[in-house]
Amino acid sequence: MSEAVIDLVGDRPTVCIDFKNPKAYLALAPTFALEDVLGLRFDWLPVSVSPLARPAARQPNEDRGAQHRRMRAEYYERDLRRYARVYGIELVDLYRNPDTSIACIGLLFAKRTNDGAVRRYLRLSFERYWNAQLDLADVRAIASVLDVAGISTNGWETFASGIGRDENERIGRTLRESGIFDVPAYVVAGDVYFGRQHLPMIEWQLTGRRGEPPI
Amino acid sequence: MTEPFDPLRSASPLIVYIDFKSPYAYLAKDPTYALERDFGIEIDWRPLTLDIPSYLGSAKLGADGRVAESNRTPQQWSGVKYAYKDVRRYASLRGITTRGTVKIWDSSLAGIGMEWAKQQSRAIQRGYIDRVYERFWKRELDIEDPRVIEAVLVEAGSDVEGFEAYHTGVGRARHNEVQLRIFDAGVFGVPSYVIDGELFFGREHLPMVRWLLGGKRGPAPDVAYRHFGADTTA
Repeated sequence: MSEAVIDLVGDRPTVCIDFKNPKAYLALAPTFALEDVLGLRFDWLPVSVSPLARPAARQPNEDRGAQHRRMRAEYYERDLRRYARVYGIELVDLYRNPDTSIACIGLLFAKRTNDGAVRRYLRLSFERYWNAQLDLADVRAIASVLDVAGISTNGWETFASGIGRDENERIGRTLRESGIFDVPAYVVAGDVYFGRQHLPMIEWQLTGRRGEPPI
Repeated sequence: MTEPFDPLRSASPLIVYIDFKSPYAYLAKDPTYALERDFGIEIDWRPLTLDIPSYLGSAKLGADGRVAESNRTPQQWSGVKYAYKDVRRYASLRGITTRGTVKIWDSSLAGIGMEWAKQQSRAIQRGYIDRVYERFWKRELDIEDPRVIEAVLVEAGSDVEGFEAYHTGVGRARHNEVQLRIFDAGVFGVPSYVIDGELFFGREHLPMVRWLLGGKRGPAPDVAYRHFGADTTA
């Protein structure tokens, strides 16, 4: 099997995701919807970024910087939960920091084996993880997700322990070196956008920049 | 204090916190005015003077445009550089100029000027906000200079008799006290929208703010201006 190509400046938009990140989870549905609107499939790539910062406990005499960080973290949790409700999602612990490597390798395997099933793999993986029903580092658990998504698991374990592992490390390293420090990250013709709030801009950019630009 | 102040409550249906040194608040200004027009409401515009070094570190550029002083971490620099790039790409599409800055400005005086303008009239406050943002981000306005701020107030139609005493006296005292209360209430950034006591930080929440102002008709929106439905099939 040949190495996966990372093309961040080409015509096909890239979406960088991290299974442990709730912002990436909330971006799934609207990103799928944009793919449908545009009639194309984005290149979904796995990357491991820093976990969300758990709000520190309020301290007596905390300085302004500590208070700011605490309040910001508390706000982001409230914000994630209220928008999760828009999608009917109840998020469990936002701050888990598991090893996600096998789920990432599973995404690469899905892309090689049955690109048409990538969406199902992503949806199942995120749903099960965020329902606390999936160990993202368990080869057999990910094999089950691949299977349910309709992806043949022939060669999965060999891939996961060999070329897939190397490829995942290379992709993650390349993305981080390219400035991808948060997810979801959308890369469109070399432009990086962090967050699903940019989907209208991405749509506008990919549809000939017609009409009023998004604000 | 000349009047009761609640950081999360107002006689207006919507409170909006802005800071003139924030380009994100600048980008949010006109889309937020649109809410006043579309819903026939009067927004309670309030200044929030950000203490940027306390959460993003600080930096100063030298005469050659290079970083002369900095206590920012690499992560903070990544975030700051991305933020400026992000602001500029949106600003350029709307013909808004956001020139780079050489230091973190003290915007408290400009905020006090905004409160002074508010006491005069809503139209004067809006004229003041528009002028300060546009010129400051073109680097044509020293917002730390009282004479400059006073001149903008005059241009916006404000009476400035007593402004000097205000910004050095009761206006400054009120600003300093109110800023602490705003921060302690959990409002930490701009633009921030407060509706029915609930805080929304960032202009990407304007669809949600609109939905709330409009009586929650239809499904609740996600962030940004185009609702991509949640119902997608594999």
